[in-house]
Amino acid sequence: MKKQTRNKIDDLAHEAIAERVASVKYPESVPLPVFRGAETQETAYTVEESRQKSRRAAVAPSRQASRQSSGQMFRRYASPFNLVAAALVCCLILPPLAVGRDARLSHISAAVHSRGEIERCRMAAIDIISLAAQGQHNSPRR
Amino acid sequence: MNDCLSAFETLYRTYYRRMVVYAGGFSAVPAHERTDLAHDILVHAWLKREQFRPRAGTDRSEEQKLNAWIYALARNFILDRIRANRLRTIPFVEEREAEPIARSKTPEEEAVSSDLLKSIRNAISAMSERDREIAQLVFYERMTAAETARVMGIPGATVRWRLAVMRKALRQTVEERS
Repeated sequence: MKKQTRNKIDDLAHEAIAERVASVKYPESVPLPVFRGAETQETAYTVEESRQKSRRAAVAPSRQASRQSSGQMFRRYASPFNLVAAALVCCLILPPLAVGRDARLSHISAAVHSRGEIERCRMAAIDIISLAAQGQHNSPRR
Repeated sequence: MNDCLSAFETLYRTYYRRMVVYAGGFSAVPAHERTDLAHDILVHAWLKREQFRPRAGTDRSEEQKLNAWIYALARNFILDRIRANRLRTIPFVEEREAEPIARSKTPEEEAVSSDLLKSIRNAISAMSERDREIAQLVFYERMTAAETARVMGIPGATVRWRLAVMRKALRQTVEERS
């Protein structure tokens, strides 16, 4: 490619990109606090402060959320579902854990008396005996 | 303090638009993030200004060296932000037609030139992300291939090769138009 042609193409590309650059508008709605500080002399912001203050107000919700503290995020995203889930955990999972083996024994007893199946009785009896051998004395009435 | 503020203002006025367009070249940067990103880049550059040490012994001006430094910093900043935020990937779309710059040409010349520039803009927009970046650095910022390679962290030979391919494509566009 001739140098002249190359320069022409480079110039055209430069002009095309320059138009795109020129089409970008400055953020008129949110002037930089550093500029305000410089003009009015009322405050002397540091650059870090200016960064925080000159952020656009209208940002995407996800970015807004990411900037919030964890407490604020909890309040933002707390829903009834979380409360219901916590209540279910408290009612269904924690009591058996707290009661322990006694609850297991009464469960076996209930199964035996309600169904009366021989096999289940046998298995329940084995369970009861094994538990009794381990020092548990809360065997159900027969 | 006022000197600092006016220096920052100058930096901001000089580079804000360029940074918005540069950030727009990364397909992982959503359109609504570009202006915020440009602002963050310039504040970051301001905070890191002490680290700018122009290389001695080259024929490039101070401004050109500053250009290369800011673009390298911007590139790293954008890539860091993309990695950190996992910004949503969207196809590169030119948002709106650029406003034409006033030129001293006849209306006919203006129309032909505008049409040609539009074709070239479209051709550049259709390029890959890396090629768009090279195009902005070389064609718009007038960086050398070596400077561009340093900014982008790729071999100089790669930049020269991609430039040759781009020039060929742009030449075809120009010939088709004329």
